[in-house]
Amino acid sequence: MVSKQLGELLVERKIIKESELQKALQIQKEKGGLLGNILVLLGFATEEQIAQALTTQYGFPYLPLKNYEIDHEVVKLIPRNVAEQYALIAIDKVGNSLTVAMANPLNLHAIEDVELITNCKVQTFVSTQSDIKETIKKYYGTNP
Amino acid sequence: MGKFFNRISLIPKPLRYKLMIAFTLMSIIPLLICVYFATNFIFPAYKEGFNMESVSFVILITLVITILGLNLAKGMVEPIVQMALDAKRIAGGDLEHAIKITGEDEIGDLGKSLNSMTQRIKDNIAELRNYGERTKEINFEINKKVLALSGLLQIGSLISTGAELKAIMDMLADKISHMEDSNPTIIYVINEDTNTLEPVSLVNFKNTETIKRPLILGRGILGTVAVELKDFIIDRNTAQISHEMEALRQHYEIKNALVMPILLHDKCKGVLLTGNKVDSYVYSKDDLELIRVFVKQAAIALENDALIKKAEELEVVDDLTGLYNEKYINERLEDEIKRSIIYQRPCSFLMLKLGEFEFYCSQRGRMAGEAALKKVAKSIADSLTPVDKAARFADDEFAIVLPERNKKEADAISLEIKKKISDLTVDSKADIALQKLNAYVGISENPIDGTTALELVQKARQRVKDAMALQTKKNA
Repeated sequence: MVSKQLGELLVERKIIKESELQKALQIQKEKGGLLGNILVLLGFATEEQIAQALTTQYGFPYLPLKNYEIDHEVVKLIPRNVAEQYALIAIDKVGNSLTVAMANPLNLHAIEDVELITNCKVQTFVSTQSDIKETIKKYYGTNP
Repeated sequence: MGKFFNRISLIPKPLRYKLMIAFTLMSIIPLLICVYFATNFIFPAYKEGFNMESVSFVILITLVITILGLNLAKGMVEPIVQMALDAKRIAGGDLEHAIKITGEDEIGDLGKSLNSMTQRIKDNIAELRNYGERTKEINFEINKKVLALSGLLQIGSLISTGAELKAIMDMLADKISHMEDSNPTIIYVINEDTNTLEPVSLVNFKNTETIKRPLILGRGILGTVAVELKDFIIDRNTAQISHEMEALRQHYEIKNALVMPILLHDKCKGVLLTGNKVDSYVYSKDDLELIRVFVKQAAIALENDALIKKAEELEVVDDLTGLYNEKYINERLEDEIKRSIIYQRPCSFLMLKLGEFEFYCSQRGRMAGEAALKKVAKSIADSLTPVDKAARFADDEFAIVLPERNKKEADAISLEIKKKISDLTVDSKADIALQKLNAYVGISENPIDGTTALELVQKARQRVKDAMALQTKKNA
């Protein structure tokens, strides 16, 4: 459902063509995987374009993680499993509010889980999947 | 002579009379004639000169004639008397006694005829005895076959009732062993993972410890039989006892041995060995055929066992509640976790245990317990969507896979199920304490609690225990 929304959003914003979306959906049906990843793999869109689209559509702020220094203690609030599976990373904690950068800010289950684990209210930022993966590796270590 | 008279006395009466008449005719009458002639013609001529010489001469002649007559009579009668005695002896049952043939006359012929008759009777009796022996043997064989048949029927019924393989094989070994005199018998089954022959059942061996060791396929006599699929026999007909055969004899402490492969669809599934210590023993064709029937039964038992195992593997449903079984749900959970990881989704796992179920069963019986479990299962199934999957793990332990649900949602579902269960009236009797069942729930979630089915199951189970412990603490 989220995939469909994302696909429609990208078509609406003329980042991809309808035919490209259909092709990506077809591949998703056959091989599985996330639509965003498939579009990037096929070269129809870049991760940044997708992140930007989410930002403008839903108002989530975009955060380029590459040059961002994060407090290790904050990162560790979320277990590695959870961070990896949902492609998200905690970047800041102020009082009872936890700022999280995630590739898919529409993943409400993920936000609920993070709130459950940390007992904090979650503020979401958008970032690209590969940036988040890199950052997870950097802060949690290369070995899972 | 006394002996002769004794013998005469044994002869039947008519013959005795006739003999006396013959004796009289031959001895007494000539004697009387002699006396008559002597007194009328010889003695008057010597009237004056009657002397002792003349009297002696007459007496001598008389004696000679008497002895001659007697001898002749004896020569005729004695063989007849002897034959009569012999015939009596033979009639009395002494068939080994042969009549002595004294001459080529009619009496000799009679003797020969009697002898050949006796021989024939002897032959007939021997033949009869032979028949008796054969009948005994046949009866023994029939008995053996009847026994074997009843054994086969017993084994068949054991197989059809789904008895365990070990029990079937034990009975098979026992029946084969008792076809004769408690012969040592052992059944090996091939373990395809280790390429060995493993003994499953053995009877009447003294030294079981060494015999219980598995054998390597392709090695030794038994290992070769399992590979070459041919019977192997050591008995009196074995031309030469090789070193290997002697080793087998010593290992199993037997003299004769029969090794047969247990074949199923031309593939070897195991090997049977049966033996005995009887000297110069030969395995008959019938014996082999009979044992082969047992071996076929063993093959059927093995196939049946394999099929049951396969069916169990394919089984996904818990018979009592109609929910899935533990094996299936573990596999599904593993699959759902993989899917969740790829699609960046959560997947929850819920375990549920009834609080007072054991007490309930002890009070109301197993049947009532099972009825209650069915109701609980229905409450669970009614609370789920088609993508959720519920199973019964143990007696009163249930599990649910909730794809696409995080803990918060799983919690809501668990509350609904708990309420449904506590609303159930499982017992209509007046005892209030037993009318309701209480459910304890533990929830785990991928990714929070782990990325494998095992981790989620362990965490959820632990949480059920914690919840129960908490309740006990509260009650105290």
